[in-house]
Amino acid sequence: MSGLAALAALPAIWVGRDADYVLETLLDALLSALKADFVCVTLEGPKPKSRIRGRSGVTPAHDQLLRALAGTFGDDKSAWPPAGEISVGADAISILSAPMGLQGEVGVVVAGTRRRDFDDETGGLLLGAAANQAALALQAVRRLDEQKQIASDLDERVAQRTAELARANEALRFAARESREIVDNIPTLVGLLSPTGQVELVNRQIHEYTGRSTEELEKWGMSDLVHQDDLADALDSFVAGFAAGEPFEIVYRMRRHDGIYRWFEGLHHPLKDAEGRVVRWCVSCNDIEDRKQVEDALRERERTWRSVINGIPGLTATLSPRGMVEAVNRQIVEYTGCELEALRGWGSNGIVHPEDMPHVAEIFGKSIAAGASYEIEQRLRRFDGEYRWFSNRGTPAFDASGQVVRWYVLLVDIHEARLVADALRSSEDNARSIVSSIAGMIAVFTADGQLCGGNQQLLDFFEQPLEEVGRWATNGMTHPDDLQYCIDSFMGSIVSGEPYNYETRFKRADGVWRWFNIRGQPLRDASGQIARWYGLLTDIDDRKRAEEALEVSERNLQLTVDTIPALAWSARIDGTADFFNRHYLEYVGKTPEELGGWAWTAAVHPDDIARLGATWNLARETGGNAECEARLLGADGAYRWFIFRANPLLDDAGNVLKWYGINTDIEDRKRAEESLRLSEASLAEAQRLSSLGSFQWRLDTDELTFSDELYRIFEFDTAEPATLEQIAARVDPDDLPLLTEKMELARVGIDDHSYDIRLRMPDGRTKHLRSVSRSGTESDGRRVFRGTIQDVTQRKLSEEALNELRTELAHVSRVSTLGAMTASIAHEVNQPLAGIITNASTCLRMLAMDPPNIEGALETARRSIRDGNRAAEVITRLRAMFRKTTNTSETVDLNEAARDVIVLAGSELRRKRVELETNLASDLPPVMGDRVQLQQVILNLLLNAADAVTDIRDRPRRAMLKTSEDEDGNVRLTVQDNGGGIDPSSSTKLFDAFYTTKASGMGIGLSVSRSIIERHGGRIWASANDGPGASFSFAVPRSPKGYNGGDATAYSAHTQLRPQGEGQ
Amino acid sequence: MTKRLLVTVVDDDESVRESLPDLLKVLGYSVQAFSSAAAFLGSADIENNDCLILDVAMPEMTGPELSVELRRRGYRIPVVFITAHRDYSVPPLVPGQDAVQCLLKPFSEAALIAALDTAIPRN
Repeated sequence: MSGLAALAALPAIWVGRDADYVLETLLDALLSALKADFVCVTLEGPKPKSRIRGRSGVTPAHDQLLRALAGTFGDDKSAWPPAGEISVGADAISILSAPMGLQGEVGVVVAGTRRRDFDDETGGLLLGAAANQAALALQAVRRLDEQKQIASDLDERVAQRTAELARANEALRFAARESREIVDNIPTLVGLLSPTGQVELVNRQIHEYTGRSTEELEKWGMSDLVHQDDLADALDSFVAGFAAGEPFEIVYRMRRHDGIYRWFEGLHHPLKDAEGRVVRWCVSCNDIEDRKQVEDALRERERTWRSVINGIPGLTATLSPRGMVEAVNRQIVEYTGCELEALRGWGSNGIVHPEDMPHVAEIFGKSIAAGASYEIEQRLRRFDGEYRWFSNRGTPAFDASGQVVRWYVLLVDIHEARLVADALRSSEDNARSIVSSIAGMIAVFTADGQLCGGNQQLLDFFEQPLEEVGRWATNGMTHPDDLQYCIDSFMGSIVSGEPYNYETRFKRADGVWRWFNIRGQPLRDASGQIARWYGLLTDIDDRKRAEEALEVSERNLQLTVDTIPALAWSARIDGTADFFNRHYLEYVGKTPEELGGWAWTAAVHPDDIARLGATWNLARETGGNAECEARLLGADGAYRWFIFRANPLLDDAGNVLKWYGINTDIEDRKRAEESLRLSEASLAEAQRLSSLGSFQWRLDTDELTFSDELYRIFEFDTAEPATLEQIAARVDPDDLPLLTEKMELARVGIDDHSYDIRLRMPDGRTKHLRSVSRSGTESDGRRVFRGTIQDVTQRKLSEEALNELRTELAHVSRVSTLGAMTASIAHEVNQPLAGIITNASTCLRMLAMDPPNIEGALETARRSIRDGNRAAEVITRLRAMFRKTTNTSETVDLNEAARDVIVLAGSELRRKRVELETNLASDLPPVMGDRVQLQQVILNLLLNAADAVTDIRDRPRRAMLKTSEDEDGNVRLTVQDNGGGIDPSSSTKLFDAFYTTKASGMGIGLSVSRSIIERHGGRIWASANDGPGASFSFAVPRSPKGYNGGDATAYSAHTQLRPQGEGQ
Repeated sequence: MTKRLLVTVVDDDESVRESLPDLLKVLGYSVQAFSSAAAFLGSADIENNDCLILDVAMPEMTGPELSVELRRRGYRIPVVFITAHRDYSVPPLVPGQDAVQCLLKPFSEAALIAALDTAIPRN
């Protein structure tokens, strides 16, 4: 390879060099390229030469070789065979030979070796190519030498002539004729031109060649003398050259007398005087037709050769023995974008990667110093600035004395291979540990695809030995659906050398198929041949499933967006909308065009637009989520409430890219909220109006929840949660035991409490509360006590006032009743008074008699005392009836009470001539109540009965009072009359206030009677008799047995609540 | 000695029937007492009465009714009504007729004597 490179580099380094150089470098290159024992070059022509170079010990003597060659192949070197065998001394030597020049006119190149297999195509081709290149170069060298010689001779002679002309005018003309003779005899075409280009003199050869006269020649620029194709260039060069005044040459085809054009090389040389002015131009035209043909042939072959060389993926260069870049091939220039001069600065100008430079410099330096081949991998900068990895190999060429005469350098692009190798090397560095520990499975294949290694993960996955895994294509561990694809992908890469990357399913040891991503990279050896394939198997099953799910989800995305029960939209960062889902469009009944930009705001309720806009603007300023409730006008013309929610889509830097929003219909919720709000408001209002608060008491934590109204009732600070201690401090100390008892009952699970309790407010006010509560269970199972507490202070006060009023009324009623009986009562009192006074008078007169009637006086005195007592009894009864009593509770014997009333009313009844029959039950149980009030009722009934019979004229006026105990254990009293009876339709109104059937009277008697009886827990009613008249009855409960008249409430003392501040 | 004047008391109230006759006797009158009008009418010597003291408010037959009945039967006996009912309607006392005066219980001894003196002129 390096020899080839050296050969390829030869023409570039031969330009402008002499024949010796050409020969030396040719020998070096061939010896290196052909792996020959020796190479010999023999030149023909004016300066015949022959050189030999070879490895010592195997190189025959030069003259001995030449003799053997001539002896074997003949003297005509051009007839020598391309390959053959000769004997030099006792040695049989294989020979390759190539002529230089078409007929070997330049010389011959011979390479020889003792090896038998020397005769190969490559060697012959190389040798032939080298010979051709050398021939071209040597011919150029030779021509150059000739031309130099001619020019040199002419210069010399013209100078002599000029000097002579200057010395002697006469002699000059003679000399010119003589020089004419000389010029005419020069075996080439020569002419002299004036400084302006006019033909002054042409030699005979010109006339003979062209067949034209001097005059005709002068018009060469307008004739067919110069080939039409070359004329323009020739004229340009001619004009330019004359203007420059320096030697120049023009190559063109010149027409021979017979019409044939031949290639000539016109060398123009200026003749200058002492002042340096051009006085003449000497033109020599050399026929180069033959050479041109050779050159064309050689160029053609060289083009072929070049294409071969350029086809080699390498960059070649030659270096001097000291390492200086001497020449580079086209690829280097193309690759680096640098010309030779720049390339020579590779040590410092960055063409070699700076990181690689120390390494390169070291290896290169050592190699140059030692004259030993080197091989470096380094990065080389491409014309576009990218560094690529190259294999840089340098081989020295030695001369016969073993001195390095030249370095041949080949640079091969190994970039891809290097990357792979790097990757593989880095993984191989810690192969055992890393390969085993990486998550993926590693498989190593030979160049032809046979599995030759794998990490533990690989074996563990299949739970199979390596050999079995290697039969992946046939043993069923690859999914049947993927198998053909796998084989195609894998084998395709094995054949092409390209990395492979595909996905397939493998059956795990437990029979589960799992998706894998398989990536393979070839590892190439130094020669670029694939040594191994490294495969990485990555379990992508989860990802695959996610992808499949994603695919499904994406497929459903549009469907989803359109079917989600909400209005979905998106907006650009400036807030203008650019998407609406189907629901949105259907709801507002518009097209996307009608809603786009800001047009969507037209559907927002006017009252909500400002708030929504503010929220939206704020969200866009801050990039945060937005949420706002607003009404949207539907296609049906009705507004519905929606909650607008918008979220920004952010890029990695947190900038908003887009907005996505969902409007959810909350109309129902809104309505529910509204009704809830109304309901809560009305509940609060109701609580406030009814002074009714509600509470909840967690039995486990004693946590209390009070309604607002309850806070007001207790006059607690709403800012702080109510506590049991606060409550205890408010409760009237007299009622604290009651509260304690009720709470204790609640704690032990006794349900359903209803009781009244009093609060003592800090300013001394008393509040009456009624509590109704019941235990319940929270959803979490905890027991709670819920209830209501009503401030009944007003009611209590009202009741008390009413009671007072009733008492007052009863009293008034009683007084008025008694007032109506004044005459009767007065009669009742006056009767005994009359007796007393009469007796007293009698007594005095009996004592005043002479003798005093003592016995009579005593009798009258006794009667006075009796009547006095009788009057006092009446007064006592009356005083009781007139007394204004509050409700007292005592045991009352209704029979006794009735008798007293009969005594009081007796005279009234007598006056009205009502016969009263009494039928009082014996063993009548006592009742609990207010005696006077009960008597008032009895009196009322009696007087009513008397009134009822007043109008009776045709029969005795009768009334009957009877007492009894009824079947319910109540004590009943009935007053029956034989009067006009009652109208059944009015029986229910009889007890209403101000209802009366009498001409006189206010109609409050029965009403008061009813309220009295009801206060005693009884009832009062009227009924018609079987015969004439009516019966009025009342029944009141008998007093409980053993009733002691005290307060029967007993207290439990399990929990004694203490007001705050009382200490522990 | 002159014959004692006969005064009859009719009253349903026992204490009057006990106390008034004793006083009338101390004052020098002969006295009869009846508890009702019917009892008086059923007695033997109505015509011997010089004066009747009748309670106004009595069951069955009131004092004034008795007075009317006696006149209907042809008796002309002076009557002094007594009553504990101040507002009780008493027939008008017509001079020359039977009724002399109506005394309200309790009445004083002097009022009684004056009424009797009016009813029975002493000479």
